[in-house]
Amino acid sequence: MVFSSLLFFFYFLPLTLLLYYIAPARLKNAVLFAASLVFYAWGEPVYVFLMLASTAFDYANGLLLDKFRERRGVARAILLFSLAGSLGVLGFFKYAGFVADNLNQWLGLSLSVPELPLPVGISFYTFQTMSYIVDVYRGKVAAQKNMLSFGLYVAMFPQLVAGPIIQYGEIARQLVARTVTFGQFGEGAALLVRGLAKKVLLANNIGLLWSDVKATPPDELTTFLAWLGIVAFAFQIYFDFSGYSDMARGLGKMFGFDFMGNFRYPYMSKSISEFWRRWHISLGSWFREYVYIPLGGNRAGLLRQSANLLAVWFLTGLWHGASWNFVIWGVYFGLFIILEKWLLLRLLQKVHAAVGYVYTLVVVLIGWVFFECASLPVAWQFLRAMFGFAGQGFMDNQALYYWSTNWLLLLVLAICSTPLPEKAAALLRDRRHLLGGAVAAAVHIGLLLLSTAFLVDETYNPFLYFRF
Amino acid sequence: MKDVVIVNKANPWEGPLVALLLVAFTGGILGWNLLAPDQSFSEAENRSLKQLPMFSVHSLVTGKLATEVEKYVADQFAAREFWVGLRSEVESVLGKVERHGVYLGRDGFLLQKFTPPASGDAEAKAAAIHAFADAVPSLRTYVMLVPTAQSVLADKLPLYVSGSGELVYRDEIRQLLDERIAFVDVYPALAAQRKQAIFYKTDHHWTTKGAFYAYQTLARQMGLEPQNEEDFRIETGSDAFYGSLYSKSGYRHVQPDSIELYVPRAAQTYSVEFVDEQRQSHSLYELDQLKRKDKYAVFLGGNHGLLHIRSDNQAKRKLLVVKDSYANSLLPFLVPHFAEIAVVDLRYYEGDVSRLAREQQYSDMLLLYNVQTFAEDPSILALAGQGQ
Repeated sequence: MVFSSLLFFFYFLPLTLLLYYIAPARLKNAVLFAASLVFYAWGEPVYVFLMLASTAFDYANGLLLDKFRERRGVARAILLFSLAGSLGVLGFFKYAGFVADNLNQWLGLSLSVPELPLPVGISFYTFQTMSYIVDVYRGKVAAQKNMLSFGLYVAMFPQLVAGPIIQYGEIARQLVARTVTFGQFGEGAALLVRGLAKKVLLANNIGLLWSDVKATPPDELTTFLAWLGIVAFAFQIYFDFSGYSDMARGLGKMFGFDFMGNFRYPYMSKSISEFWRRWHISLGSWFREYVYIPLGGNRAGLLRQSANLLAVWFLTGLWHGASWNFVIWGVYFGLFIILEKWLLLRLLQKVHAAVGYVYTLVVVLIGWVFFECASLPVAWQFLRAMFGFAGQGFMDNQALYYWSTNWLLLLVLAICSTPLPEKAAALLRDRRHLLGGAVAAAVHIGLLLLSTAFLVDETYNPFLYFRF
Repeated sequence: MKDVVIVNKANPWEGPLVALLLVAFTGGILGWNLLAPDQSFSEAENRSLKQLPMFSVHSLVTGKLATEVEKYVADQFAAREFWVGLRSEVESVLGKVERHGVYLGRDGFLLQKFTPPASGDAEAKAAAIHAFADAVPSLRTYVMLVPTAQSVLADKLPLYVSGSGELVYRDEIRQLLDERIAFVDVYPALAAQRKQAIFYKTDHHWTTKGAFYAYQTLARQMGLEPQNEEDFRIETGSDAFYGSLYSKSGYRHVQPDSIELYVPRAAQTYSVEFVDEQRQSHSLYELDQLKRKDKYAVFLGGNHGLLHIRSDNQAKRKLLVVKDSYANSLLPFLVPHFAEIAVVDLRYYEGDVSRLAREQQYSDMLLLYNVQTFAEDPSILALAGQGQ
């Protein structure tokens, strides 16, 4: 099931909330776990068992690590066994076809692997269980003895299918005991509604523009339309993904959990390094914590650090999908980050801030071309169109049509990519009387009504993370 | 775990108010959805609504059940019409002029968007027409591909939208057809009358008037003496017609169309045999349909696989028509010119058309489609022969 659906909002959510809040405290985790299984099994009725098996596997490994924590050799073996198991499952379901294709192509083999659909959320929950095992091994967190609490950590429906990727230590205590205040519940509900509006009203609508542009052969694109299209995609993926993360956080709050924010106005960055501190923050933290720092991080000189960064960005790209274009996309950012460490950041500090903003946006937009065009020749043609080498001129009627029917939406998207709406809301909230609260509540219910209208008459509501 | 109420620091009212509203709204809709009886048909959208799917282990495991339940929930959602209208309002405010493949044009016109077919489509369809001509060489074949409102009334399209795609595709077909095939170009006749109501504003069909002008062009090209407008009494069948584009688009602020019927002043007697339905009639009109939603079905009662129109006039020629629904309003004009007319809709006809043509010894054949159906409908390829 996905959050941005009628079934979720008008059946699953009210019923789950009802059961959760009438259940006695000792049963609340069980209710939430059972609801999460229903949530996952809906549409994935087979793979729910895979997820349960992964959960049981690392639950057991956690207990074993706890038992043998004094014997480092054994503990290390358990750690490697667990990681091999997790990565093996992820590799089998996500990367087997990709690896086989490449081996076939480069070595002239003819391996064939069964074409299985990718289990939803596998990249997210596998990363969570791995972080748990590593942290138990390191002694950073205590092993979770209660199977239900551990199951809830992995399977909890707000963050199950599209993150944020929560490290176990962040919510270990909340899994055992948490309080929900009325205000916190309302804050969560507001976050949920804003997230829904981002996904349904903003991302889906601008996504229509991108899907039209993407359907046009890139050698027929004018320069203006190519830029318009990739800007549309940049807005689509940001509002889609951050909207989904907001919904996850909002739902978490409604059940008493506090998840980390996953996005912080990434398009307001002045460098690529900064962009990645603001974009998909939980993924960045994961790679920093479990790959970059173990590799030595920045402690062994700039050269070694650059190699570490390259490895991290290769893997980050690969995490996004089993295809070379994602690897290129990741390495592309890695190279810019290395360049910034060597030189660029110092240069950027000397010039006007606007240069940093523009530089970052252009690099990110070009990056999205690699992200979205699965084939490199197509990506190359698209870039040619963006830089005026497609021979179609700057502007035509088609481009004018898309501009004239989307400029207002683009303006709204641009404003919502900055902290302006949040600042405006803060002004409103500061008035501590009923009117301020009522206006804020009215805005939220308005967003909910509009989102409902767009869901009922839904023609375009894709789920973008199926590859992750 | 104990639930404790504390005061929200920023604004003490906002959190609780949002919480209450969200719970009341979602819970209220849930209750409404569960209690209200399911609808079976949507008049506005002109389609059957999804009913509660049957449970089976197989459909559960394959995920089919989930998909069907989601469709069911969307179709039976409380106040569905209200939400569909609200969405189209918001999109209009944002300046969107296209929904579900329909343009919101000027002067209250809804126009069907043309998406050019994949390359090779024109060649394949021309080849099918040639193969049919080869199979039945005795037939004089006429091909009429009618440009829809988006080409003829291109000035009604929204700003910057080009209406040339249909004509480009049609001309491609025209170039590919060899000299055995007579191409009937009705664009000039329609374009000359563009100030008149030759297309519906809310439906993808032409009006009876539009069909009439095309008929005159066709008759002249077939060597027949066309009837004039004075030969008919024009009656209004309905003035509350909300057509297919209205249903498809969700644009609700448009004026309805009226459907006009051209009743011949001279008496005609003919019989209509609906072959699949095993039914006879003495009229090409089904006036009951004017009370229903899809009022264009007043012509022939909609589409049928095969029907025969037999007249007791003095005409010698026999006509085979292979067509889409655009023909339905034009056929009545052809009745006095032919002793017999067979009407085949390839989307519903399962027999072999070339065999039908040989056995019944038709003298003429008319292929009549609007450009969009011709581009989209693969059943035309069946003309090349069954089993190929």
